[in-house]
Amino acid sequence: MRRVIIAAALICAFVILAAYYQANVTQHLDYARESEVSANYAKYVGQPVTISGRVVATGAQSFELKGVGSTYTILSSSTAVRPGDVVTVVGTLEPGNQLRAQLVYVSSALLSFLVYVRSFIAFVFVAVLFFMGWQFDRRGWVIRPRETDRERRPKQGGG
Amino acid sequence: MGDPTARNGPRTQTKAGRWVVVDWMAHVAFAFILCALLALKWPVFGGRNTVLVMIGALMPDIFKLYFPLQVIGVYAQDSLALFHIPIGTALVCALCALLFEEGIRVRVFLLFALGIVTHYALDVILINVSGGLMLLNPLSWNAWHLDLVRPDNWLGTTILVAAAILVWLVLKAWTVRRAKDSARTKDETYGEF
Repeated sequence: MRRVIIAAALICAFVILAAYYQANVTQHLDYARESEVSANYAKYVGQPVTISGRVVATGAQSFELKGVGSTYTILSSSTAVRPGDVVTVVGTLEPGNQLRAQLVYVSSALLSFLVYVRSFIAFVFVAVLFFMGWQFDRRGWVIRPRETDRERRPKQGGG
Repeated sequence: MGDPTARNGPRTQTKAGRWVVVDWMAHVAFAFILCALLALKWPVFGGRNTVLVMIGALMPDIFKLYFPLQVIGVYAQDSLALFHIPIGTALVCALCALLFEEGIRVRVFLLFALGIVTHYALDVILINVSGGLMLLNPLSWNAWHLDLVRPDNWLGTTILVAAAILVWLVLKAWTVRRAKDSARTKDETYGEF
């Protein structure tokens, strides 16, 4: 019962802090993000904003970046990107879903994909390692150390 | 909101923005190396407890669930962001420690917490163009990043994984040698009788 009360208190604290973060984060951003821009585009025209997404097309002086909700034309003469690249841009928002880039971070499609592949392998490794050392007891809803053969032997010997 | 060109220094303090993360393999390898070295002096960091530090090292990235949610049209980046803030991660870590049997919960919590520290230590060195880690939220909205390593850097991960394998092999060889030495000593002792 005590465990349930502590768990409930921790969940409540988490929910309160998460709500506080969500309610206030917009006021503390260096740059407005796509979610703020798409909610009120006119407000951010001429302001520095940041947009992240995947490159869908390239041109001589610009490229098309597909964000979460919209596609933006990024005006940048010096950045070499290829379709599929994952890009984060900081720049000045212009009318007509255009952004004049000032800072661009480009990650190739392959390198971005490999981050997920490596992470998945690590996840499987940790999961296997965990269940080798620990077991979930469904009766008591607790996780306890799994007894290894080496740990079991002295007990049997000792009667 | 400031001028983006005004903050290109190697060590930058900014306010909240987009998150960047190290891949999990690097986090796990780093946690393993740290535990292997600490276990030389304090055995509590070795054996099955090492994986708890590894889990702690992955815990802040629960916030990454916003990626799959985004695919189905749910924007949850801000709702899940607290998972990637130390106070939020500590609450989750305490909640997870409650799942363990009584008597070891405090130890499990501390091992998770060590993993969390390693996570933020690695994340803070990443290049971040529009944000950083808000280590003191909700007390402060400032965010930090050292701009030393690219988030998609495979070389850093490769070095950490290679170092982890090397540490594991050296410790394995050392343990085997120590076991042989102790068996030999035992034989010699019994031989005297």
